[in-house]
Amino acid sequence: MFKKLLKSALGFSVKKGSGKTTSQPVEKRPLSADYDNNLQTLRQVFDQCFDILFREFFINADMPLRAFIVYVTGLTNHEMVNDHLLKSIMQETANLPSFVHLSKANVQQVIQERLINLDETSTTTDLIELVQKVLEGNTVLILDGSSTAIIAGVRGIESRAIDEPDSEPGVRGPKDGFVEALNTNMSLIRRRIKTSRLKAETFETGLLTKTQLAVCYIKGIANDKVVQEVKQRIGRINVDSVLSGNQIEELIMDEAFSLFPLVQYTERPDKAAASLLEGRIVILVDNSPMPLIVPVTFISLLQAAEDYYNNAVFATSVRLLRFVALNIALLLPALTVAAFSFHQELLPTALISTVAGARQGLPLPIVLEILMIEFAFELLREAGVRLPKTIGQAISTVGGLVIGQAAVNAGLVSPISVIVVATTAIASFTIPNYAAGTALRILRFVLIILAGFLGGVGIISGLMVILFHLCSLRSFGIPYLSPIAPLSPGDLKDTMVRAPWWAMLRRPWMSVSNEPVRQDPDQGPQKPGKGGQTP
Amino acid sequence: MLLYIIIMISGLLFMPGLTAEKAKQSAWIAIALASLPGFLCLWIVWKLGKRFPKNTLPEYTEIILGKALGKVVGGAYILFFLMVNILSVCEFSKFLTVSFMPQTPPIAFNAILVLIGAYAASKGIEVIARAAQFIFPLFVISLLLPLISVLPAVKVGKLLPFLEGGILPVIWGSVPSIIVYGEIIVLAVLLPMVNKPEEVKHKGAFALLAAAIFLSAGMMFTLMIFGPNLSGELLFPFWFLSKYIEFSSYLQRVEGIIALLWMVGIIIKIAVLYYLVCFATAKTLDLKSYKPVVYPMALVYIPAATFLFRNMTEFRQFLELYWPYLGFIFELVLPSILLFVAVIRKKQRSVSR
Repeated sequence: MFKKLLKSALGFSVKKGSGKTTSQPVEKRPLSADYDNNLQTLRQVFDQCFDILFREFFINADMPLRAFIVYVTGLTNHEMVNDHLLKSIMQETANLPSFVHLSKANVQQVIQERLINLDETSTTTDLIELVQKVLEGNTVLILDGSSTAIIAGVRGIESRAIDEPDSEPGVRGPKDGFVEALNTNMSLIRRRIKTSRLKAETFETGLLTKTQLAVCYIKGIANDKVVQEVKQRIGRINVDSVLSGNQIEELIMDEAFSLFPLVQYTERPDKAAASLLEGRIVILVDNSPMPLIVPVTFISLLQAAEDYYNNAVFATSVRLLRFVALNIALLLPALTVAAFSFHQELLPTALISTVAGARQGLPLPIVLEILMIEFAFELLREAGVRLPKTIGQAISTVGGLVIGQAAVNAGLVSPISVIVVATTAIASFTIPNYAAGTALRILRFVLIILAGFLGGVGIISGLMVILFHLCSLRSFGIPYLSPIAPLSPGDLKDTMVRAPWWAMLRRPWMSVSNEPVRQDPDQGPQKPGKGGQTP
Repeated sequence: MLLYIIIMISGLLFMPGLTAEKAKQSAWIAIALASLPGFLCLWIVWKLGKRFPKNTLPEYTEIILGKALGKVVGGAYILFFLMVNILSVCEFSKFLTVSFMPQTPPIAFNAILVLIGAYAASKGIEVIARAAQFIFPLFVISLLLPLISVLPAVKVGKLLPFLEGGILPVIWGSVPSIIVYGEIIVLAVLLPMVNKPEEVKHKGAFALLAAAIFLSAGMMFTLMIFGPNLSGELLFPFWFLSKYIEFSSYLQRVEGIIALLWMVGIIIKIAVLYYLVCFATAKTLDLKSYKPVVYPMALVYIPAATFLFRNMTEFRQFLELYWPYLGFIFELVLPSILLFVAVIRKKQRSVSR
């Protein structure tokens, strides 16, 4: 019996093959009223954990009432424990003259309600829950003669300070980024959306890690069915550990094998807040600075937060640029291969003669050439991720320029291939979404090979297959390619172009139709004459 | 959602057809005329659809004609759609072989087209519809571009003399084109799945009209540039038209791109027809889902497309002499009979709908 308790307290409760969900109630083990029993139990549970400490003391000089606290030394705010918890119990009891006359049964209640001056306290009678709370950083107080333990929320978890987001920098717009602590992240969102309709529900996932997730949405704007679906899927997660947002993504995704991301990540609170206002759902993961945003459509992969802080016309042109860049990043190498191998008639004469001259005496057909350079580039890219920042710069310069030039001079590759691959790489960096970039990289290779086999026909076949695949994707019920297909014209204002704010009257299609209208129609800039003021 | 695809489909159902069409003198009227039976076909389909709002073609053939005969007719329709599909595949791959990549064995093209169609069909008609919606603008451009850029070279005089041989040759000339319009019969199977059925009549008519205009215009332009006799000789008149596109001295010979855009269109067509075939098979054989049929069908398609016609001439002969009448039966005659029988048995049928 004791062993079983230990096991469940230590997290060994993976039931193989039972198929039950984690929302099933865990076995409970009540505390006993006996002080020594409790102490011994807890000491055994936390045996061989150097950072979980016990502090035994007596409450009040006049009463021989023993008590002890359990806490994790690294996760506790020691000042609060000392000043508010211990001090109020050990010393301030003198302020309550009737204290000494309390029976053992009442003491716990009195202490919690009158003496401990902390804002977060709760109680529990369950040992398992108690252990869990200690592990989360709370300090638990257990009194002699009471089978109720008091949990004091005096967590002091070291956390990174709010800093500029690495992966999504911007010129204009706020520069705070999410950090690892869940509460801090939630506060970053709350300070932007100050309505009680912003709901945030927590879930615990991962049997060993017990990671907290917070599902945030704005009630009335977000589609209720989608919210339900998200909550259901999270509830079904039944794994050992959840360490990153990516795991959550894979466990709640619609399709198992698509290359394209069905979930979006962001490191910027303003983007998260904007998504919430559009009717999406943000899932914050404790210990991860990248919350998930669902549902996602293909178009959002091309949108960057910066667009909304810049002039509408400029933002529109930048978006179009990005769209062109997307095409280049996917197709340029394949098109080059197809053009040079199969469809030479498409190229202007001047270009043909230059390139043909340059390609004299080269050992490889252009397909293999481009594949080779692409491969080399991928190597450089992957290596660059792991290098420290200082060396990284040097390598990219060295790799890009020197090696490329050397290869050309040595007669291995033609300059045109190097140019094509380099342009493609630069174009692929303009895609704001990292996961989409990875999808593009793989597809690019596939298309190059197809182009090598069948030229233009191969490219079109590849593109059609990709198109069909994209059309069949759904992210939590929303078709991936909306609002282009199925067509919803009102939403097109935010896809390729960025309409000015006064023109975006309706919320995106995916949100509930309860509140379709965002703002009044007549907000566009107007000449001042209407006010009746004479110059 | 599916409404757009109707427009789309009609457009591209016919466009690739034009490439393999042979022209007749004063032929542009012929094409416009050929659209009229198409409208009739649409009307019949629509009436049948109203009678049986929840049933697709194979289903209501069974209901109208009784189980045994209905299954036979349903099976015949499957073969018909299969044939249309194979023809489309054949058409395009021969086109590619002849004009683009002569050294590639046609089986490669056939295999690719069929397999992509299979993949799309396995995803379902909704996916195909969305893809069609996505490509629609692109496709329209690929149709308009040759027409517009060729305008400077057009000589209207070549259209004369008008109706040289009298009206009869024109009518004879329109015959091969009829079946192309009649492909709207695919609606019969798809009708229950459309989102807004009441709009089908208008959108379908609009689609037919648009297709008729495009094709007539295309034919007109071909005639105006090449003259009546040469047009009759050309294998792929519209394709030749595209060869004329020249934006400036260095953006020439873009017909390759046009051909590739057509390929996009024809893939959609093949996908839709493929879906139809599998779906109709499943319904006729009372299978629960059409998915298992999809890939085995490819095994039928690829050899058929490759080996059915040994060369281009045989293909054209088939298209010219035999296919119009076959198509006519399935696209007009049979549906009329179905409607007729349904009306006669009206008292027993429409009440229980």
